[in-house]
Amino acid sequence: MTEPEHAPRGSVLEIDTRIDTAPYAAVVADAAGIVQALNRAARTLLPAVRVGETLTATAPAWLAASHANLAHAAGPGPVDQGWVERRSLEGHPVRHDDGTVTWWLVDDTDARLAREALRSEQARTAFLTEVSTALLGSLNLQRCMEITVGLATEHLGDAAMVIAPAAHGGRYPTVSGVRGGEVAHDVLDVDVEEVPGLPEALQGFPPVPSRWLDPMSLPDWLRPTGFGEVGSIVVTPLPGHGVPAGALILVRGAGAAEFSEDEEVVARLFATRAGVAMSAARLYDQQASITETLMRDLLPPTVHRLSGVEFAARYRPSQDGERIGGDFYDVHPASRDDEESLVVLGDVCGKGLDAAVLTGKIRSTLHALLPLAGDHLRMLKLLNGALLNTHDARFATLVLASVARAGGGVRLRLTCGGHPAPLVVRADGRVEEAPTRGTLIGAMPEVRATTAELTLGPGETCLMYTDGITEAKGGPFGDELFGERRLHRALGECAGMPAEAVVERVQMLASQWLGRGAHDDMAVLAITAPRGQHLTAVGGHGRGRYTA
Amino acid sequence: MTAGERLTCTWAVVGRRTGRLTIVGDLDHDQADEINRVLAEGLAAHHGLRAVHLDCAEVAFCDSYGLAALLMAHRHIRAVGARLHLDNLQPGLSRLLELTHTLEFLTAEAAPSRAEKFDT
Repeated sequence: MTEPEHAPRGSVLEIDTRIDTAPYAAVVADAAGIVQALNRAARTLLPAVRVGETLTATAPAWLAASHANLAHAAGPGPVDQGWVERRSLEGHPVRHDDGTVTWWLVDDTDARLAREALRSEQARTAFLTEVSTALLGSLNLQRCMEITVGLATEHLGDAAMVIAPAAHGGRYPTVSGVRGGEVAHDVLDVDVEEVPGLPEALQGFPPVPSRWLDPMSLPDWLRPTGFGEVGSIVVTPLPGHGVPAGALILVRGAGAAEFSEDEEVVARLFATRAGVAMSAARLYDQQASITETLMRDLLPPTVHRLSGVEFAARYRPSQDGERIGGDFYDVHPASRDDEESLVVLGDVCGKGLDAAVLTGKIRSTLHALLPLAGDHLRMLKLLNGALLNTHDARFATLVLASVARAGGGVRLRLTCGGHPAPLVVRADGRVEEAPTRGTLIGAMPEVRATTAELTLGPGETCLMYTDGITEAKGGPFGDELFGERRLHRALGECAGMPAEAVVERVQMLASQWLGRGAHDDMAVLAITAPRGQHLTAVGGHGRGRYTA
Repeated sequence: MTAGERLTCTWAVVGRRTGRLTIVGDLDHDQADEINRVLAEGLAAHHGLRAVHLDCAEVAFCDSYGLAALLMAHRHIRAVGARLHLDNLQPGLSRLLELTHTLEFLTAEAAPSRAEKFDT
């Protein structure tokens, strides 16, 4: 590039054709800011600028100011940037020996827009990441609503309100807040129809876009307390997992800018995340309360002495929340002393609510089948029929025990449905497995089972247990099962003990074996013939040494 | 529960109409579903199988959830018209299957009418 060096100072310069046809605009001005020359591109770009006029009068203010500053600065001069119409220009000053300066104006609009888009995209991503992190940290609905309002007032509006779908008899739980202030919880008894778009947003279907409201028509309950004049207000639905999570209302003050298109997009993305988090929290709440309700019903009954027979039971649920409702037991007392009571102990295979529901079903079905308890096999077959289903292979194993007082002892009829056979502790410390076997219940079309009949002498115990006991994993190396042999040995030491003491001891040994290890549900139930006062009550079992 | 021996299942077609699922590890409530995941893939990839062998030589432990998984495997295998064989049963699993009367059921020759009634 050749500068027109020969032209006299202060006069209009001739411009070299090579500069004149350059693709970038060039403006030459002297130290006083008087334009000396323009190339073709500059004439098009800045039609107001004329040779002989001042930059101050004709050029964009930023260029004139930069030029003026240049006079005081040393060196080549800083690159400047400014706008002409909608184009962004970078001004590169080139000083010349004669005190004039050529401003090369380079159009960087596209690069600048791309950079700005990138920057705002990064900011948006950062914001949404923050949102997700904050919201996912909580499964508590109230907390999710607070976080949503907090983030909304910090990043999107001057005030915000989250209004949840109606609960508690048509009233709306809300959380609202103003930037920098505390969030407030409330339950509003209001007519949402007063706010256009709000009923639809709360219904969640059909999906509605964000809706602008006239600040003048705002009902008082929407007006944030301690907030000046409302400038703009927008209602955005919070979409949940198929269930509406509520609506987000964003408010900006009268002085603040209205929502830009970009901001609305961000607000929508924000609402989506908040809605998902809130509906997850709500579902979790619901599930937790359902679980609690079911659990309450599933809690094993207190077992004690009935019709002259001792009963005792212990239940230690797994700490794993998923495993609720695995083991169960029930004692159905006889209506008369000479009739049989029915004891059921079982284990439902599966996890969580499914298992809890199946347990409930088994317990109520067996309750209804009580009149048939005289025939265990028939009872099991009917129960099996009621439980058979096609979509999974859930099943239960259980033991039925019909118990009646017989003289000084206790007569038992025991039937296993796929369950470990009950163990009988004789008075002399022998431990016998009740000779009963049967098909597990609920998975196969046919059920077979054999019923064992036996008699307990005074002080003798029949122990029913679930595999949580024998499969308790622990011991010195932490990986060994408690096992049947250990259970037999432990029971051998329980000869002559009352039912309470037997279940306590078994439960304690299994728990010690576990140490701190996690475990399955563990249930034990003991049926004990009380130690009689009459020698005749010994009834031929054992040597009767406890009467000595 | 304490995590059991890690379960790995390997599927192979060993004859024109025979599949084999080799099960190594514990069939417990944390992992037993794996056998049906691998089995379903295998059955979907090979049509016309007549027999599926579950090789249980390396199954040291099976709890009730593991048993449910075996019952489910039985359904899947019956549904494609094949018969389930349990090979190399170890004493623990063998005892569980006897206790629950499931061994005979799981490995019975296909009785179409009953099986269909049950599988649909």
